[in-house]
Amino acid sequence: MVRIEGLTKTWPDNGVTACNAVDLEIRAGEVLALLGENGAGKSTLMGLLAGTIRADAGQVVLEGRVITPKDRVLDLGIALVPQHPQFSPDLTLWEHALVGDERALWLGPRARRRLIESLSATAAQWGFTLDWTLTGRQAGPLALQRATLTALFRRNPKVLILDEPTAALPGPEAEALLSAVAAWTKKEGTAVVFITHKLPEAMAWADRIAVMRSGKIEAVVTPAETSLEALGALLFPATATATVEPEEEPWVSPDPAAPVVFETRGTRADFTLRAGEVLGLTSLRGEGAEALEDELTGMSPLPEGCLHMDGRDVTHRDIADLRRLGLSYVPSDRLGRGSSPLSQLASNVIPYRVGQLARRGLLRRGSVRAYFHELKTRFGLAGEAGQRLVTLSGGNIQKLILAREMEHNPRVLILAEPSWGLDLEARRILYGLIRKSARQGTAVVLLTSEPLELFEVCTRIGALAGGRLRALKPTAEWTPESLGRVLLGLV
Amino acid sequence: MKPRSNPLTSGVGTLVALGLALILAVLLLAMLSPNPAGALRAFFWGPLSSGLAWGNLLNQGLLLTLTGLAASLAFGAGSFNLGGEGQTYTGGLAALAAALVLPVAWGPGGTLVALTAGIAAGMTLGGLSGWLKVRFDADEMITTFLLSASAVPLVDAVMTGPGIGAAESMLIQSRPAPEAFWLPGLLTPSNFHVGVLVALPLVVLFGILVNHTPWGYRLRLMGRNRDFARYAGISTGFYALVPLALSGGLHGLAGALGVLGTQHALVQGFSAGWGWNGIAVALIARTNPWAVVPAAFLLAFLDQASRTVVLQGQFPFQLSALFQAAILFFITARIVLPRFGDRRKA
Amino acid sequence: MNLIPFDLLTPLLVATLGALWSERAGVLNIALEGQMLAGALTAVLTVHFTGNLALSLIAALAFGALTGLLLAWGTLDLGADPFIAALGLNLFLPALVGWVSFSLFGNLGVIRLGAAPPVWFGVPVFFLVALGLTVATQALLFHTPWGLRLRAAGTSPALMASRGLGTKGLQRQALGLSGALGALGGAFLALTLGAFVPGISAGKGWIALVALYLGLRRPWPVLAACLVLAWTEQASNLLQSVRNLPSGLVLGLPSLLTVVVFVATSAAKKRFSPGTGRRLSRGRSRR
Repeated sequence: MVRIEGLTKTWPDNGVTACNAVDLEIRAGEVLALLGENGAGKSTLMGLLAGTIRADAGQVVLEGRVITPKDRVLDLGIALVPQHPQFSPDLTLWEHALVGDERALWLGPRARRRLIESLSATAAQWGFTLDWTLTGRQAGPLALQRATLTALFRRNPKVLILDEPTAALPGPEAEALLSAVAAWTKKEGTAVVFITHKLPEAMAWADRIAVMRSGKIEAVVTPAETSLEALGALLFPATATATVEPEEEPWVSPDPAAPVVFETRGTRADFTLRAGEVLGLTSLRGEGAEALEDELTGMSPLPEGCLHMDGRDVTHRDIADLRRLGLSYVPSDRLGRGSSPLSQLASNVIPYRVGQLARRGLLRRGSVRAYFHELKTRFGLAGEAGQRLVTLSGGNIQKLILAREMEHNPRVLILAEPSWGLDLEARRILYGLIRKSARQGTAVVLLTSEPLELFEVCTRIGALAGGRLRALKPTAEWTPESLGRVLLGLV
Repeated sequence: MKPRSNPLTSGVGTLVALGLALILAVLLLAMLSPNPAGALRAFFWGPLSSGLAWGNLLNQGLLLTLTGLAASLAFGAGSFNLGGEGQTYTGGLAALAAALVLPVAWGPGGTLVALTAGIAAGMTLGGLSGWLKVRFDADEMITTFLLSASAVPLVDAVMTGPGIGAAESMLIQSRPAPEAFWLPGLLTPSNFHVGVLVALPLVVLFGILVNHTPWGYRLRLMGRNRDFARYAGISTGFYALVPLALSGGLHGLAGALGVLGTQHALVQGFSAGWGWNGIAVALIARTNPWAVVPAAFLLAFLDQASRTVVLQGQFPFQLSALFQAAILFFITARIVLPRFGDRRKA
Repeated sequence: MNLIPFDLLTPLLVATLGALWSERAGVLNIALEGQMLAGALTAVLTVHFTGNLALSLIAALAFGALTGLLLAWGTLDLGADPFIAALGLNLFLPALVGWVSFSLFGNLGVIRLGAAPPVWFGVPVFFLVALGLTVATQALLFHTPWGLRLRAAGTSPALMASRGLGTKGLQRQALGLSGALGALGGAFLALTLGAFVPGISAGKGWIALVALYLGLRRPWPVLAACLVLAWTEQASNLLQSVRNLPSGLVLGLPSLLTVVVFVATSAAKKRFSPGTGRRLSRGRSRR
């Protein structure tokens, strides 16, 4: 029913090719599961399909008709329910459901009642109930996702795309949803694509399973032709080669007697970190690793448990205090949080140094530039001091941020998704910098959704699933498949 | 809802906008005036043609420098101060009240105290909005405006009240301040006086502070990317409150100077529009203190020029409003934030 | 002292409704003050030249809509900052009004009209119109698809985009409507007074913004807020003739009250996180 032909998309600001000439067929009356780890390109592919992202090349053919950029894909029958849908804090859920599809001239109390009844009926079909009078602000992410699902479903789409529909659902509700999905496609001859990383669900409910890696579709199989193990192997192949060339220098193990620098207790991811260690924490999307970024750096409060740094309880400290105690942090949101894109490069590297660079209270432009040049030489940065940050490529921006955060030998360095968007050369440099930092005594925490890169640079790897840390072992005791199995919840 | 535009137009864009506005004005003068040559001469030469003209020009330019500086400080730190009028008015009242209460023997010392009172009053209003923002997350754009809107009638009431109100007068105004506290006039009978000259060292002070100190660096970072500022450990509370307080303080100073220097009494409504003028200057100067002086004098010149043209009967209506409107319009139409691509994760 | 000071209430209510429409669409209209003035002059001129009351209202509406669309053009098509562009309009309109008045009558002074505005059963017709507009606003904004989309556009353009809808057209309509209502408010003001006086709007365009927030941005509370403000104005007018009591106090109180209301609602909103499930907190620090 839908043919995706040669769809390609490269993100301009970091040069990553998220989708590389992807071909995929979606058949009427089927449920297609789309599997892949983060960065594989699944969300981009679905965005391309649903018209929220513009493709660089390739086309989508819906029932024999090529979709043009001018088409309103939603009207043509392709609906995407994102994991975190757009919403308005002030509108109620039933109003959300109506926007764009009002079907009435007057929305009085009677119409509202009728509408809520019809929405509730649809929701019941999918196995849930909602309080439709809640506002966007009051509703949680799950309610919003469900409201959006119901709303888009009322438009009788031909193809329904669900992004991680069961991520936040307990077992029975997930089952109810997926069985409703399957029944609907059979009955109406429509198609559903659902993105997931829960292999058992894919096996149980999908008619076909597509596995995506690095922008390409690796395989499309039916559940009968495969098994959980085989899928796990496709996602995390044992033969996955290192993404970068191995370092010439031997990897030095950290000193087991080194002092404990960073420690969490009573949280959903407890660990003890010593100076010189590199700890990698990973999960699949939505399974717990992302939230750690804010919690470990003082940007958000810790929901439970406590955090210690150099023996001191820092549970209620914010980022400013933690920095003063020796923490450095490379955020996943480089332009929104990690830099001031409209400012000059020199301005972007000095926030922690302004006090020191000033002489008698004055910040001289000369000293600022000199400092920038020093960093530039040490870390191989691109660009001139007076250049605006936005003019640099994504990889170079990240290098600058790394330089800024690492240069003063922090006690603790926390990196969130540091290699996203970096090419091989830049990654090599990144890992080299991390190792050097560790050798100089920094305790490093690396949060990533690309589990394989942890083998490059970490001394220990921790895997989270279902929001909690499931296993924490030295790197040597892991293999890509064993890691994959913990992440997928197969263990 | 909030018009959070970043006042970072390119320098070229600003000049182009100004140029366009000027061309528009000249065209209008040429087309609509009964005596185009006379109109143009009055326009370009008028503000410079006499001591009186110079005096008014300097006075207005320096006052605009103050309010422009006030607006720039807030803007540059990412906050909107829409309460300039109320802060100026309240500053004027505070200065007058001090002048009426202090012993006349204090002389210039008393003037200083009165000016300080004006600054303090403005600072309180501005700082209050800053505090509300930090504590309650209340949008300072609205609270500065609302507080100013409440302050103006309150000041009106107090200044005509017992002890302060003028016995009888054509204008609604307060009792005059004792002459001992008056700021000496310059180029009389113009509005110019010694006090406004304080704007210049203030520009230097803030120019250095904002552009060449760690404090100023952090302030500007707050204006550029607040999330980054917080991430970098900058105290967002401090840098939200202090700029607003300083901004209010400068407005208060402007009000105090107006009262003690020019009118020697608090005249009702003297501060009308002073807030908006300051914002216009800040926009043209792109919140850089150094650029505030030329921007302020440019606007002052345009205002005086158009006043002259109207007074001399060479043009039927107030050009200055048209200018300001055109300048504002053209300048903001140039504001286009650079796009830095989709920041999406794959 | 009237229980309902119609003459004070009506212009303010209409102007505030104008502010409401634009704010709900996500583009606060700061130019109301100028638009009121322009509407006042337009109405008076029309009556002066044609003697037709209804036509004068229509003329005011039309001109106001025009200024609103001008604002929309600058903001939506040219990318100007809505606040600054409105400020510019607010500076321009009074100057224009002064010029027109001067050109036509040779002075900047008062233009007098003959008749008084019509009254039905003791209630001014203008007030009934304003009341009707309130009802219409409530109905259109909260019970029609158009109003729904407008509110969605004002609070989450991303939501609109995800449904394949744009926001520019709706915002343009809102600004046009807002300008029209602002001008109508000014027209009511002048026609009730029976004259155009320079500066007749006297800050009402700004008070309308106060009324908007005091009225929690909804039509019926806005009516209540405008009533409160009309009472205070009436009270202060009365007090001014008594001269012992400071009338300014009374005038300043509503704005102060609005600050309190606004801050309270902001504080309440701060407690709810947006629906992504992650809290907005800034991280606590102990110093």
